[in-house]
Amino acid sequence: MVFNKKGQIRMLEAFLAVLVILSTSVFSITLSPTTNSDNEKLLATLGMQVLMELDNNGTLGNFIDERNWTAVRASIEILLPTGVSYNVTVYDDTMNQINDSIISNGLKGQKIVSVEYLCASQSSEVHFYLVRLQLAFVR
Amino acid sequence: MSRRNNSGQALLLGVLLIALLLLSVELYVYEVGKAIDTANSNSFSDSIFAVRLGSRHVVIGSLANISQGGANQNLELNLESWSSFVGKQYQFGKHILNFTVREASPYSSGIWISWGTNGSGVSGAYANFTLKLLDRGIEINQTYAINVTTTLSIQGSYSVIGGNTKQVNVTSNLLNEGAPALAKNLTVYYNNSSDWIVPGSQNNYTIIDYGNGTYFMSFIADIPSENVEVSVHVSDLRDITVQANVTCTET
Repeated sequence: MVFNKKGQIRMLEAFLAVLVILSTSVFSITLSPTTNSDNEKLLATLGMQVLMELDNNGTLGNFIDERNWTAVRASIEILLPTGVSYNVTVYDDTMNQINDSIISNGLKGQKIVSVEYLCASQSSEVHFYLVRLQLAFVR
Repeated sequence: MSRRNNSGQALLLGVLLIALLLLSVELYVYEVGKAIDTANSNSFSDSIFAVRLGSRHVVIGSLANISQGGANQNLELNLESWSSFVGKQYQFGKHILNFTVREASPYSSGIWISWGTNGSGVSGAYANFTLKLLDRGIEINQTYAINVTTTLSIQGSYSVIGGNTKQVNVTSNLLNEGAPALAKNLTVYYNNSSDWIVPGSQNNYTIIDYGNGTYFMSFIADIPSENVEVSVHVSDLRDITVQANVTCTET
């Protein structure tokens, strides 16, 4: 008795094809740059939250008014988690850099994210500043 | 020897390969697009929040300035400068910040300063804002109002110790936007023959800070008049100054 196995082979081929598609899809998702984007997003959100927290009651603007860069550095280091390196640059309303000392813990990392924050001081003589916070995960 | 026809399988493999490529590209674009959308959404809301916070600081700083003797127009001038500064930043798109200061009574040029003789004093500022954030294919409109008010209310009483010597007690309550607030500086004065005098240690001056915006002051002074007038001048932690006067009641 002769059996025609053509149909079974076709089914096997189709099954293999589906298997190849699925495995390739999983592979492509793994290779996609989602992880990097997530890290960048996390750093950007973290940077904004740190600056907003510091500026919430006008502290950031007061420190800058007083040119108290030590206090800015200390506050940011308290608010940032360990494993994150940072660098802060402060500009006045004419975009001149005004911090004359480095506010940083040694920025290093593969991917550096930059956050720009507009700050108005809460003093009776109002001043405006642009605070640029660069962040990176230390590997 | 039989020859098999494999053209069907080759065609199937080709189709699968093309489908595979399409699927991979689609997945890649989807994932990247999703990440960018979420990041942008967060960035926009953070950016809007930062501008709102800055606007609030400008209103508070301007009110501090005006309550210490600055011109009422300083609020508008400072807000114009802030609006211009915000408009020059493009990190998350173009910001357009417009504002109007409140002119409805009791405000004038966005400022309400009422330091009365009925035991109540108010220093307030009010401005409405419209923030427009423009980016490629995105337009976000946000309207908000900033209302900053420092209120002081005082009550005073006195008792005659002997002759013109009187024991004066003053209680003051300080509020920021209706909530209890602490004072940075508090000075009490009493009126003696049209001179406003600050009681000192020679007057057994004492002050009790209850920590909830309530302060109790007590002193002894020679005041010939039966109308014992006291005035309390306060700066809150935001440097906004407010004062109130009251005629003490005899107990």
